[in-house]
Order: sequence, then structure tokens, then C-alpha cells
Amino acid sequence: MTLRKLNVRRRLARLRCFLFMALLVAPGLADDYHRGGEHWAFRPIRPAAVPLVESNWPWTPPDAFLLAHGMAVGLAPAPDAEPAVGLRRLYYALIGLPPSPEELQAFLEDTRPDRWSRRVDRLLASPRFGERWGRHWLDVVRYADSSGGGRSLIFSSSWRYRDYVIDSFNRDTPYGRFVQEQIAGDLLSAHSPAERRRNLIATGFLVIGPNNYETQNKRLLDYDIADEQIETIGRAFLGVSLGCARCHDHKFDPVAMREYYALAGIFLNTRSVVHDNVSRWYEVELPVDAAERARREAALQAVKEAEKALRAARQKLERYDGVYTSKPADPRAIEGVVIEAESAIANGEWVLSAHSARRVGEAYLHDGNKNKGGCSLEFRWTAPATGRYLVRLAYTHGSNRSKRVPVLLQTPHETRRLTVDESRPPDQGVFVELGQIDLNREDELVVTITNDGTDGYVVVDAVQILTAQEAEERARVATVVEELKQQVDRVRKGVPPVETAMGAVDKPEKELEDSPILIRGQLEAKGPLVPRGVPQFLAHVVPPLEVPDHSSGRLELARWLTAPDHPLTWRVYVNRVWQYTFGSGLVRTPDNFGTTGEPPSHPELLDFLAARFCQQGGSTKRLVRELVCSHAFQLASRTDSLARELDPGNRLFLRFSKRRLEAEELRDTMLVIAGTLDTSMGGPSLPANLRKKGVEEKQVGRLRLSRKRSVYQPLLRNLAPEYYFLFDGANTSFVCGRRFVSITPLQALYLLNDESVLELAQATANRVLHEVEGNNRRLELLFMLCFSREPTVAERQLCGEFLQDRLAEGASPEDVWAELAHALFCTVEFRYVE
Amino acid sequence: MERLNRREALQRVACGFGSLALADLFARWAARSARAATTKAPHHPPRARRVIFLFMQGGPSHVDTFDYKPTLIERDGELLSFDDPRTRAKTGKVIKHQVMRPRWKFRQYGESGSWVSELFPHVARHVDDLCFVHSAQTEGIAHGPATLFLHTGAIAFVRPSMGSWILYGLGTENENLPDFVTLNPPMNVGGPRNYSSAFLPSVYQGTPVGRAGQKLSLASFPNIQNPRYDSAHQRRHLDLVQSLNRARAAETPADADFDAVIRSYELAFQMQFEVPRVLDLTTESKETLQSYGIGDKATDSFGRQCLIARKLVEAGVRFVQVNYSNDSSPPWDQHSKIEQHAIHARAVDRPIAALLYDLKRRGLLDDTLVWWSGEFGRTPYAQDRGTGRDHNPLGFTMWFAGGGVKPGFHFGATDEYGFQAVENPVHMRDIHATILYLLGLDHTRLTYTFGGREFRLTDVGGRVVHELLA
Repeated sequence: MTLRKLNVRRRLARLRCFLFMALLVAPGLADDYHRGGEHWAFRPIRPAAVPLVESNWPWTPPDAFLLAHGMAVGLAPAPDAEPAVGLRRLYYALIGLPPSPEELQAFLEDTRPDRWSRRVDRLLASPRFGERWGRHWLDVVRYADSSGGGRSLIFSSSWRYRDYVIDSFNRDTPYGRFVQEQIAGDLLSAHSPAERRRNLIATGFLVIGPNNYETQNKRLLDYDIADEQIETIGRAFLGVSLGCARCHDHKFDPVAMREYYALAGIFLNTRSVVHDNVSRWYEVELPVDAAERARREAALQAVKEAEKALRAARQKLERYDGVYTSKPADPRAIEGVVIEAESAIANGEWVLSAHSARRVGEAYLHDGNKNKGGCSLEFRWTAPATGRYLVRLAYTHGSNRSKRVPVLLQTPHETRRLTVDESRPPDQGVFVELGQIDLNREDELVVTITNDGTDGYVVVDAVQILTAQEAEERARVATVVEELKQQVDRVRKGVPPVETAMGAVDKPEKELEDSPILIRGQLEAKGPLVPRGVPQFLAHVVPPLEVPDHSSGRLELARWLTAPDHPLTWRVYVNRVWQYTFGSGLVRTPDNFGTTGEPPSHPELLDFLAARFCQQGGSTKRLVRELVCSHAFQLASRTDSLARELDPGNRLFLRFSKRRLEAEELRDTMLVIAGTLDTSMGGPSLPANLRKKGVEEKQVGRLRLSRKRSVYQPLLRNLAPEYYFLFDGANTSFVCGRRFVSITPLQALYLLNDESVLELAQATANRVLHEVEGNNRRLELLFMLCFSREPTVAERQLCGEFLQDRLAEGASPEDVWAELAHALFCTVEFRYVE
Repeated sequence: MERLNRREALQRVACGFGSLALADLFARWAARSARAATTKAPHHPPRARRVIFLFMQGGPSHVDTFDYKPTLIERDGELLSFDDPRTRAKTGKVIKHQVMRPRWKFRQYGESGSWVSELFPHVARHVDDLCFVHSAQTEGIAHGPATLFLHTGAIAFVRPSMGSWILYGLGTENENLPDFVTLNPPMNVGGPRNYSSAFLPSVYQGTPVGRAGQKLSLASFPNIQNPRYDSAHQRRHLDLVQSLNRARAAETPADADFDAVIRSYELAFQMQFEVPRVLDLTTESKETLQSYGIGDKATDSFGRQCLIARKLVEAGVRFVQVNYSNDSSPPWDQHSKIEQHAIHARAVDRPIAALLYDLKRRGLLDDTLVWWSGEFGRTPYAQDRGTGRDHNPLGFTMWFAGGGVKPGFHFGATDEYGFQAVENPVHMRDIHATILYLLGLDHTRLTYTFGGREFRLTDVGGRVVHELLA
């Protein structure tokens, strides 16, 4: 071909391409998509036939569509990517982690023709798949672990919903079912308690949104929450913003206020909030299976019995000890001899008081905290028989009482001095023990309490004397009470806790009511009532379902959304899957399929995929499998300049766009390279004390991260982990079908200086030093770990020089290798997958 | 054919089609490219290039500071009916409240004869540079809502903060520092939402330095120092990184992102010198430190913040917020013991005066807009007939200085009690519109398309208060 001819070809191709792109970015101009004001995405899905192209390039139906388009504008596909590059791409796409050097080696050595699809199947079956693809979905549903708003409350059990999402992708729940569970799981029938649990947890979708629970006008809050739910459902499932119609008919899309308030009625009749000064999200109690239920009931029965026994024993003990409580003890009901202070011999000035109810009898005496050394009380008692007696004192305690009240025990045989701390409560019912004392018949016992040298009130209520038998019996009962207390604690711990999850249920039937239209969205400006219902704007394609009087209408909404001929739900989802696989969607505004969004680059392909996905039962894994097994997925990202010039944004998918790793991938990659990734799944991301009722985000202080995958780290709306917000993690306040990709110096500072990055580099160094011998092999391992390739000659030289210089300076091999690993973490290549 | 760069090409295409989708695309593109390249043309010639916002968290009492109401002294202690917004929200009623005189004496200052109370003797000396708005109004009765409204123009919904909008509109001026910095922001009342970019690209997010209650130091800037390498070693390490990058680049075709990442490392490396230079106050003269009240226990903390703010704007940072705030309860929030206003006024008065003087002396005040405001003012009557004042969003005072506003000027007025704005009310949205205007941005044209809808800071309201402009 002459240069001239080539130029003509280029120019023609450029013109075709320009027209194609112009149509894409200028909705309204492309008549093919807009006929009679009818927007392409609202028209029925038209299953297109796979184009026939005379080429053996296509491996799958999507390839045929892409190639046909490419041929139409005169652009050929890029060459295939190198196998190692392709495999790395596949691993990141499916599980968000790089292949290990061993996995890469095994793949390259595998000569079977189906080595690719075998690897695909293995990755789809890995639990890591759900962690990666679940995270995509968590972006879409604005998942977070706190409420945001003026007071950002920490969610106690949002993690259950997160784990449900991951599990759903791993078990490949059909998409229609997945949608229904999240909107109306509580209204779906379940075949087992486990399924019922899943269904209830799924409705967490409705309540994990950013809400300002502090809002004082609770009716307004109800509408705000319903609005948030409607807007999320609109963008997540339909790719249409419905929220605008709260205040006026939608300006661009055909959503009328009527339809909005019909939908609002559905969510206002759904219980998703519990009102209080600062309100709170609703939580559902999770059911358990029969065996667990039986275990629970048995445990509760055991608690009941232990408590009963304890009560009985306590009653016995009370006969000796009285009860130190707000009701005065009756001295006549207490065993032994009880001498009240009022009948003791008083010297000095004692004040009669009934201020504290925790007393014995009518009153007690105190010294008024005065006249120290001048007051005493004598209790005199003559023993009726020879034996040993237990003497105890009753008083009412308080912080203003003396800590050292002098007590004198006198018998004909001995004199004992002791002190009582009246600032603390008595430890045996109303009494403290003064001592055991031996008396002969007719011996007189004198118990004297004085206020000598005391620094606080001295209070005296009563003295009790028990015989040896009584004392023994009391001690025995006291031991039984102690044992039973421990027993109760033990059996209580044995009761499985009632598990709850954030979720929503219908309000009771008698509370159901329709919402009026609120004019300009103002609560006070009530227009006519609108019956609850699903949106009408697709009535020509999907017949709207009637909402029965006895339910909110969520189930009907969920069924309507997942109707087999729904033009939006299926298109929106297959487009998301395409985007997560290829980097950008066939429609590049994944949450906006309305008239202000972009039209699809390949409308026939989108419809082909949507129709088939729906017909085949909505298996995400099957769809992903087809996409990653396509030829298009395995193309090189490098291409000739013509392709770059004609299709700079790669809208034709005839090469592969390299992409920046997402925040989670970046961190997980460093963890897996360092060999310190904890692969355990699920569970709360925050400790129990932070998930208690009423804890606010500002109380968290420093965020502590585990070594589990990033999807399991706490994601607080005001306090996301640093890697997450620096590397453009999804904004947790909105449906986020597509993350930004920014390049900032703050990212560079993080990779250069963050302590956790340095630690991971250190761990990587230790691993490399331990696993292989010799600097060359170590360098090769390091490159394999970081880039899935061997170092080039130039790279060997650069790293080798650095290594030698540092070692010559006396740096330790651990430090030098850590610096090398750190350098590779900082490279451009590390951040991208080709 | 003349060659267009990507941006120009896009702008032309955008004009050609007027497509909404393109605005989004354009923003994404802008977000992807390296920071240095993102300066954008304003809508009209700007009067201010930078903003320092002195945020007085909790709501200082205007009738005790800058809004002199002799009637309050005359009628001190009388029970009068006021349509208190909180009482109305809770009970729907108008009840009688006890008028409470200002606890501080007022006198006139400067050629403008501006009334200032004893609380601000130092700021008072600058009244001829200040432009007062006595008729400010806002939305939200509680701190959380009003604070979010002040910063983002929204209460229930998550929206970009003013600083983010400004960066989005003007791009970034500075290469070695982030362009939107907030000093010691509080974690309460919305926390980071007050400096978040929400749905705008995350490059427009504010960078927090320190947290409320912390002393500003080098450690307050995220990852600004390597804990293990000294700077010579770090340079050598970064040289290795960049050599590896170049070696790789030699094998791959030219790539804008590739260059942008390489560049971001060099910027980061520069920041490591620039940030300590800004945060390091030891290079400042003794007189300067003293003038800001640094070293004096009462003023040390806010003095440091103000001096660092000056250094930041001097270094070209576009939007600096200085927070006088507290994580547990907003400092200016005297529902009882209004006398405690004295503590807060003392903490901020000298540093603010020093900042104004310092900016002026350095010729920075001409194109730096200083804005002093709380999230609302306070009632002219005692709360529950006690010793403090409740929140008042119906009328309060804020002031500006420099950056194209009239010096020594007073605009608007509250009624004779200082309860409601009655003359030329200025809504917070008008303030937003005016600040954008001073920076060269038309608030009705500064829009961003998100999820199929166009958003702006002022939503469907806002009026540029031309009367304030010099």
C-alpha cells in the first residue's frame, strides 16, 4: 500500500470513527436510539442475532459483536496479550489478587488447550471471587459501617449484610432472586431457617444508607429515609434517578411526582427506622433452626431453674442477714438476738435518724459528725447458755461515714478492739461480722461503739448475736447462695445470644396508609393521596403490578423490577458486569440509563447479553465466565497509534484498557506479596464495644485494621481507612457504579511513607530472603511477586547496583531488600494491571 | 491543521454539542491528569484568589460582639414575646423570653465608627478594613444541620463543600501543597462531610491537618515524613523508583497516566520540604510570633493556626479553613454562662488581628478574602431565663476583609433587639454566591452533573450581594 493510499484510508477511518463517537456523546442526535421521544433504554430488549463475520477471530458471541463494529469503522483488534499478562489480568478481574509465582508457572507450563477455561473455573469457584465481586456490589449499594449525618452512629451489624453479599456472589444467587431478597427478603417464603436468615439480612440493603437520624422532625426523617431508599433503588437497579420527582416531575426522564409518592408509600409503610431523639435503624431478630432453637430453649430453662434455686437460697439467707435495700428490715423477722441502737445505752449526743431506708427497724443513731470522742453506745447482753456466739453490727453506709469506727467487744474473759469502715456497704446483708466470741452461761457481753478519733459520721443501727448453730447454718446457706450465683452466671453464658441484623419489615396491616403528594416536597403542603405502586413509565413494556391493601408493596416492586422483560434491570446489570470485567461499560454511565446518560456503544451486544442473561436464569458466574473467555478480554493493551488515534477512549473494546488497581486491590496485593494476608472470611469489622448502641464514630479514635482482606475492614462514613479514600474508594453516600481514578501526591506520600506500607515491604523482604538463595533469584522472585514477570536486564542492573551500594555501606540485607520491595511497591507498574 | 491538546479539543467538542454527558466526562478527565495542569479559567476576572475562612464553631453571640443594640440595655430583664425558632419547631408556640443585655461594653472604632464590644479589642483596631454583614441568615437550628449548611449548602443530603466547589471551578494553583486545607477540623457536626468533595472528583477534597484540640505540628500532616529514611536516602530511594519507571516506560508507548504518576512522586517529594517549611514556625521572627499570641497560653493554639494559614496562602493554597472548634462540644455555644464568651474571644482576638495586619503588610490582603463567621448567631434573650443564649439562625453578624470587599463597611441590620434580620437580609446561599463571585465564579454556572442531574453549591437559590463589593 502506498503512503498516499494509507493516508486516505486513515482519513476515511477517522471520519467514520468521528461520526460514531459523535453519535455516542450526543444523545438526541442519534435517531436510531430516540424515536418519537422514546428513549432507547425504556424500549423492550431486542435480542439481536450474533453477527456473522468471516473471521476466526471471535471466540465467543460478544467477540463477534465487537469485531463487526470494528470492521464497520475500519479498526482491527489489537494482538493478543502475552499469557502472563493475560493471567494477571484474569486474576485481578476475578479475585482482585495477583497470581502467585507458582500459579503463574503452572499456567505457563500447562499445554492443554483449555488451560484458560480451567483456570477461569478454578477462580470462579474460589471464595476470593465473592470477596472481589461482592465489593463491586457494595459500591453500588453505598455500603458503610456507620450512618453518617451530624452524629454518625456506628452500625452494629452492617457486616452481616456485607457477608451476605459476598456469600451471594460465591453461591451465585440468580440476579433476579438477589434483587428480590434485598428489597423484600422478609416477604419471600423460605424453606429453612438459614434461608430465612439470609432473606432478612438481605433487607439490610434498605437501611445501610446515609441518614441523619438526628433530624428532629420525625415525619420529615421518614420521608428522607424513604427518599434515600428510592434514589438508591432507582440508580442501583434501574439506572434512573427517581429522587428528583420528590419536588417536581422529573425534568429529563419520564418520572412524575405521582409515581414518586406511589413509591414513597411503599417505603413509608416499611419499618426501617425506630424513632427516638436521635432515631435508629431497624433491626430484625434472626431465626435459628430447630436444633438451635431447642438448645436455646433448654439453656433458657436451665437459667430459669438456676434462678429459682438461687431465689430460694437467698430467701433462707435473708432470714439471717436481712436485705440491705430501700426497704427497712424487720428486726423480728431476723434470726438470733437483734438489739436495736435505740435500746442501747447512749453516752454523749446521738441523733435519731430514719434518713436512709437501708436500715433495721424504725430508725438508727448517728453522732452528727460532732463531739468526737464524746459519744459511745453500749449494747449489753447476757448469755443464756455456754457456747460460742457470732456478733454482727448493722449500719447504713455512705461516703460521709467514718472509715474507722472503733468497736470494743468485752466479756469477762477478754477485750477485743476492732474498727469498722462505714463508708462501704455491709457485706452480709445488713450486717458486718464483728467476731466470734466464747461465753459461759450468765456471762455478760458488752459491745461498745464510740466516735473516738473518727473523721466522718458514726452510724449505729443494731447488733445481732447468733448462736454457734445459727452461725453455722447461716454460713452453710451463704455458701449455697455463692455457688448458685456462679451457677446462674454459668448457665446464662450458655444461652446463645439473640442475633439481630439491620433490616426492614412491613408495618402491621392496620398501620398501612398511602402518602399524599407533597407539593414541592414540603411536608405541610399535602396534595392528593396516591395509592402505593410501582413506577408507570415503563407500563408499555412491563405491566405494573397492583399493590394489595395488606402489604407495603415491596414484594410487588421487587417482582416488577425482576420481570423477565424488564428493559432496565437486566441491561443495567449486564452492563455493570461488563464494566467490572473490561474496565468500562458498554454504557459508560452505569448508574444513569436515563436520557442524560450515555447511550451504549454496542446496543445490540447489550441487548443480546441482557436477554440471554435473563433467559438463562441470571447466573453472574456464567456471564463473567463468558466475558473473560472472550478473545476481547485477552487482547494486549498496547496497540498501534492508529487505534489510539481513532478510538482514544477504547469504546470499541478492540484492545484492553489498562486500569489502576482499586484501593482494596492495592492493599490486598501488598499483603499477599508480603505473605501476611489473613484469608479468614467475614465477621464484624469493629470490636463489640464500638458496636454497642449509641456509639458515635468520633469515639473510634484511631482506626485499627486487621490483616484480613480490605473488604472486611471498617468503612465508616466519616473515617474510612486511609488507603481507601486516597485511592478513590467508592463514596459511601451514593450509588457508585464507577469509581474515580485520581493521581495525587497524597497517594505518593502514602506509598512512600506510611508505616504499614513499610512494614509490608519489610515482610516481603523477609520472605524473599527466606524462600530463595542468591541475589539474582531473590530479585526474580520479587519481580514475579510484584509484576508477574522477570526483571529485564536494565532492571537487574539498577536493582543490583542499589543492592551492592547499600550492602557496601553496611546496611543489613533485611533492610536493603525491604527498600527494594518498597521501591517496587512505589513503581507505576505496580499500580496498574495491563 | 493546528494541533489541539486533549483539553482544548474537548472544550471545543463540548461547545459544539452542549452535552451534559460531556461535563461529567470532562471532569473525570480533569481528575485523571496531574494536579499541576488543572488550573482553569474563571468565569470573570476574580477579585480574590484565595480564601481564609475563620470558622467560629458554636455560634458567637452577635449582640455581644459586633451588633450593638442599646435597646437590650434599656430593656434588660423584661419579658417579651419572640418567635424563637427552636420553641416554634418543638411546640409551635411563641412564648415570652427575658431580654438579656450584652455583658460587654461597646464603643466605636476607626474612621468608620464601627461598634465593637470589649471582647474584640484587637480586631477592633482593624474595623476600617472589615466589611460587616449584620443581617446574615441561615438554615438549621441545631449545630449539625447549620454547620453542614454553612459548608455544603445542604442539610440532609451529602453535597460537596464550598472549598471543593471552588477547586473544581478554578483548578489548582499550587504544585507543592494541597489547595484546600482545613486546620484542626472537628469530628462532630458532620465531621469530614464539611470538607468533603462528595460526588465531585476526590482531587477536590479538603486535606485536614490536625484534629480539633490537637496542637499543629509536622505529625499532623498525613505521611509527610518517612519514619525510616532520612531525606538524602529517600532521594536515592526515589531515584531508584523513578529509574525503574523510566526503564519500564522505555518499553511501553507514551502514556499520560504514567507520566502523571511519576510526576506525583516528585510533587510528593517536594511537599516533604514545603509542608515542614509551612508548619515550622521557628523561622518566624519573635515579633511575629508575639503578635499572633504564640507563646501565650490563651492564644497559642489559635495563633499557630492563623500564622500557618498565612503561610499557606502565601505558598499559594487556595482555600484555608481555620477552625476554632472542639470535638466534644462547640466552643462558642454558651447556652448558659455567656461570660465564657470572654475565654473564646481572648483565644481568637489577637491572632485574628495579627493575621489581618500580617496579610496587609505583605500585600496579600488585596487578593485574599478573609471570612469570619459562626454557623449561626445567638438570641438576644436568655435561654430559659438563665445565663446564656440559644442558637439564632434568623439574624447574625459575620465579616469579611480584603479580597474585593468594601473596607469599613456595614451592610444589613437586625431589628432593635438583634433578633431577626430586617434590613437587607443576606441568606447563607447569598454568601456562597458572593464568595464564588469574588473568586471569579458565577454560582449559577458552576455546576456538576451527577446521576443525571445538575448540582450547584447554591442549589436553586443564592444572589451575589453586589453591595459588598469594592
